[in-house]
Parts: sequence; C-alpha cells; structure tokens
Amino acid sequence: MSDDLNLFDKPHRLHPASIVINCGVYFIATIKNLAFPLVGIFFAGKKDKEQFLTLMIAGAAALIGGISLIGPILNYFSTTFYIENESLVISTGFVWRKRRTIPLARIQNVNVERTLWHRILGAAAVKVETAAGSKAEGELTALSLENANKLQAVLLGHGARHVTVEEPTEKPQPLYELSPRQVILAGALGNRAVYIIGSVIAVVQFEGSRQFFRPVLNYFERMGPVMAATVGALSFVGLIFVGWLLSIVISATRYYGFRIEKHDRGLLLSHGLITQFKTIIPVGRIQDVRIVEPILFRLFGYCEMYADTAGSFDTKDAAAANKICPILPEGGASQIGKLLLPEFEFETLEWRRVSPKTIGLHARRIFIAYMILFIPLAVWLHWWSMLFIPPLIAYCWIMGIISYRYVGYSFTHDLLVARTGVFRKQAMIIPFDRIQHYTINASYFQRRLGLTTIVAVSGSSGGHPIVIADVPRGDADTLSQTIGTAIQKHLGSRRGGL
Amino acid sequence: MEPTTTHRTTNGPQPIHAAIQKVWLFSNVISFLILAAITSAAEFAFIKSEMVPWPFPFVMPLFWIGIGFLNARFLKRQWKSWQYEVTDHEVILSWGVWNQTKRFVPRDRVQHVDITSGPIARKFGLAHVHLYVAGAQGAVGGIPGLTPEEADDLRTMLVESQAEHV
Repeated sequence: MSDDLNLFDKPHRLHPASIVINCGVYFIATIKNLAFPLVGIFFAGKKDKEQFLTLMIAGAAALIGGISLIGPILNYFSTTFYIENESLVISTGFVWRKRRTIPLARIQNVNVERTLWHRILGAAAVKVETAAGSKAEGELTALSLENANKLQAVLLGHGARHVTVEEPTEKPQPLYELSPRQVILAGALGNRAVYIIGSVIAVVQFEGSRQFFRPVLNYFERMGPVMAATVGALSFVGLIFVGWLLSIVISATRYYGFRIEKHDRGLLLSHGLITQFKTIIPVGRIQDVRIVEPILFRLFGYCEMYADTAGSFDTKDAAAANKICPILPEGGASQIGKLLLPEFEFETLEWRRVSPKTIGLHARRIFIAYMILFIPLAVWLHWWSMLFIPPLIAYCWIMGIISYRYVGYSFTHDLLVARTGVFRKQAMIIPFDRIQHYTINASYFQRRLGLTTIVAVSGSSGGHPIVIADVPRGDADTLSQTIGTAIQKHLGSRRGGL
Repeated sequence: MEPTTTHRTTNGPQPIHAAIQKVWLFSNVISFLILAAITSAAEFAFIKSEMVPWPFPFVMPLFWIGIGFLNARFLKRQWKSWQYEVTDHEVILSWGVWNQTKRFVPRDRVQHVDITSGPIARKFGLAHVHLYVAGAQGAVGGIPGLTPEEADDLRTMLVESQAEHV
C-alpha cells in the first residue's frame, strides 16, 4: 500500500488536455461573470454612434476570448496534486493559491469520467467525493488515462501497480447488464416531452416572440377554426413525439453498454456511448436504497433503483449520480438489492398500512395546494370558478384513497422500509445501522386525530429520509421503540461505513 | 452486539431554563422591528405612488405588533414544551406547540457538539448546545436555554460516550 502511495508522493501536473477541456468551462464562466458589466456598458453607450457599439462588441469578444484562453493555461501550470501523509493534496490558483487536503480515510467515492474530448485527447477526469459539501470536493479536470486509473485505485485503497490502461480483451462476467432494447425502453418510458413543451412556453413568454412566431400565427389565422384546432392538436402530439425520441436518444447515449461488475471495493458501474462513466459504488458505505416507479415505468412493469452513499448528491454531477439501474423488471429488485445490501428484502416484505384517516388528511393537503393555484382562475372567472371546486374535491379524495392503498411501512431484523407516492411511487430502504436519527412529529390536525409522522434519516447527504405519515400514535410509539432497539443491536455491525 | 458500557445520563427528562423566554422575547422583538421597518418603508413607497388607498403607513407596523403579541402569548407554552433527556443510548429532544416533535439521536451517532451563546443569550447567562451527526447539512438538534455549566456538562457527557467507542 505504501508503495502505491509513493506513486503520487511528488507533485503531479494535470494532463495538457486540461487546457483544451477547460477552455469551454472558462468560456461559459467568463460569459456568466461578465454578463452584467457588459450589459451595463452596452446600455450606457446605446445613444452613441454605431461605431461605439461595434467597438464594445469587439472588446467584449476579445476579453471573453482572452480570459477563456489565459485561464486554462494558468490553471494547467498552477494545479498540482500529490499524496502526503495519507491525504490527497490538490494545490490550485495562480494569484490566490488554494491547497485542499482530503484525508484518504474520508474519501467516499472516486469517479473516473471521460467525455468525448477526454477520449479524443487520451485523458480522463477524476472526481473525489467525501461526505461533506454539495459537489465533488476534489476535481482533476484531466489526467492521462493511466494516471487516472492508478489514482482511483490508490485513493480507494487497493493496489495500483497492477492497474493497466488497456481495456481487457475479455470483460469479466457482469453481475447485471442492460440489453440495447432495455436501454431504449428506459428512454422511451422516461419521456422528456414535458421539457420541450416547457421550453416552447418559455419562448412564447419572451418579449418580441410574437414577431418570431408571426409567420406561424399568420398561417393559423388563414385556416378555419376546425382546421386550426386539428393542426394545433397534431403539433402538440408532434412535440410529445419529438420529446419521446429525444428521451430515447439521451438514454441510449448515456446508458449504452450499461453493466454492473464486481469490484474490490464494491460494484463497478460502467456505461456511456459518448461520455463514458465508470463509477465505483462503495457497497460498505451505502446509506439507503430507493426503488422508484414513475407512472409509465409502472404501467409496463419496470422500476428504477437508486443507492445513496454519504458522499453522493443528486445534483452533484453526472458521474456521481446515484442511479444504480435505469430500468429493472419489478420482480428483479432483489437481485440488484442484494448486491447493494446483503440483508436486502423487498418482494417478501409484509406491509403495514397507516391509518385510514390519512385519506382525509392527504386530500386536504393537496386541496390546499391546488387552491393556491386556483387563485388566478378565480380572478379570471369570478363566481363561475366555484364550479371547479366539487370536481377538485372529488379528485383530491380519490388521490387520498390511492395514496392510502399504497403508502405503508415494514421492517425486518435489519431494515426499515417505507413506500409513498401516488403517480411516482417510491420505496425507501434504510438499514437500521445507517439511521443517524429519527423523529416523531405531530401537527395540530394530526394530534386531533391521534396520528403522528415518523421520520428516519440516514447519513446520505442527498437527504432522502424515510417519512411515514399518519401512523396511529400507539403504532408510532411501538415503531420508534423498535427502531431504537434495532439501532443499538446493530451498532458497529458493518465495516467501512461512517 | 449489545453494548455493555453504561454512560452518564440526565436521570429523566430535563426542562430548559425559564429565562429562555426572555431571550426568545428579545430576539422576536428585534426580528419583528426589522420586519416592521422594512415593510413600513415598502408601504410608504406604495402610498407615495398612490398604489394603496390609505393615507398613513400604519398597517404594516400594526400587523407586526399584532403578530408579536400573539407570539409573546405562546412563549410560555413554547418553553414548557421543551425537554431534553440523555438516556444510556439516546439523546431525546422534544419541543413544539403546534407541531410537536420528539427527536431521538443515538449517542453513538453524535459526531460533534457545539456550544453557542449569542449576545442576548449571554446577557441572560444562557448557552445553546447543538448536536451534529454524519451526512447532515447542519445541526440535527439544538438544546436552547442551558446555563454554561449545564451546557458544558452535557457536552462532556456526550463526548465521553464518543471516546468510549474509539
């Protein structure tokens, strides 16, 4: 091990590819930073001659271009990394020097990421996560592929001497892999039409968009009402279709060649057509597992699976995304689950329901939320808007019933499990030895009905607690005692955790 | 594996110091005064631009004074609802008038303990103990209204149990 650490005991520079890769990053950052001052300058000089405007545009372009090029070069010459006293040290900054020290023992995960640029230039990015912060705490934009793999191996605590750059000619037997058909299905079921429709609406909101859409509006005005409605409906269907195709393309490029393999330190997830991801999931540090069933997935009998470690955040970055499997047959959750948590159980669990009084409480919660959205409608339609209230009440009540029929909780000797949701259903699994704290909470309305909510929080920084709402008081007390006893029983039972 | 060590405990649920009501009152008065000043200035601007029909900027100050009085009426109930207990295995915190909360933090999960004391709390000789666990973005529990000696004792109690597990 000490030999491995010696590989990086001297300061190492980034790969020269980092200059090219960082150019794009600096370009966007420069535009963001200079946006306000430049807008100010343009407005200040708008009354002057056209020459002034031309000069300003040329000056801004030169400034942005200059900073975009100088920044990456300075970054390349000023960034070094090395391992010292069992810590990774990353030194950056040309004017303001910064030295970040990350103890190896605190590292939760190390991801090697290769975008298209990395692959063309023979490099790879290394992202180091600890349990703190909301993004990767150590990021090395580009290392040679060999160094990236060796550094990942060293940081994750196993030998690096044997790490080779070449991909093995024969890949080891995967524990799980997705066929191209499944990858396409994952995209087809996760339709992104909503984003496209949202984008179109956002464009329409812009000042001057009428001018932009004038030819389209003229075309519609020349049609009869029936024809206009038909073309409008067809356009809407077309947008959904485009969104659907886009979703398939994104899924196919991102999850192409998805496979899970056994790794010395847990599981190795590899996938990606353009940007290749190789993520090691440190199994000993998994805090919770989530099985998510969006409505379309459920209709076709599939689900998604997520696992949160103490260092993973949903928004951290693409490589650290905690989605373990983008598509999984409903009955196959245990196959992957047991790889993540040896004590995993799901299909065989006996579910306990919460109180039936949850129907009214749930209906009231969503009714209040809808009433806030209802205000603009009331301003527009005045008293006629009251006609919408009876169907809205019926809808909220039905949602309450659907929620009651699904929501529930269960526990085994080792796990606490809860499921929630109406359209997007989710089951959350936390091993007792990962629970950091738990809470019994009762609002005024819940107390009147003798109900409480139980919240159990694991050490995952992503913040995915188990929330069991509207449990009868007696059951909640029993459950809290069970959790307390189980936590004590499991203290120190798992290695490699927090 | 059942832990065999026994730790120091608080011997049952403990109330917090009654002087915390004064700290809360002072803090609320300052907060409401700031809010009243900001909203009154906004109200005054609206009156100047004739966007509101009434002539004097009194509505917002009266509104915040009303809220302040209502809040002051609940301070005693808020104080009574606060309790903390350190058992052999857990730190149990309970608080809340409308939303009643009881939080259980296993002693072995406590990563570190902070003691803070703001200017108002210091004036009344009180300190605030914050508990931190792994993976959380901030303190998962805070016990207000302890004397500095009580806060120090509580901190030592919790840190001792950590040391025993090293």
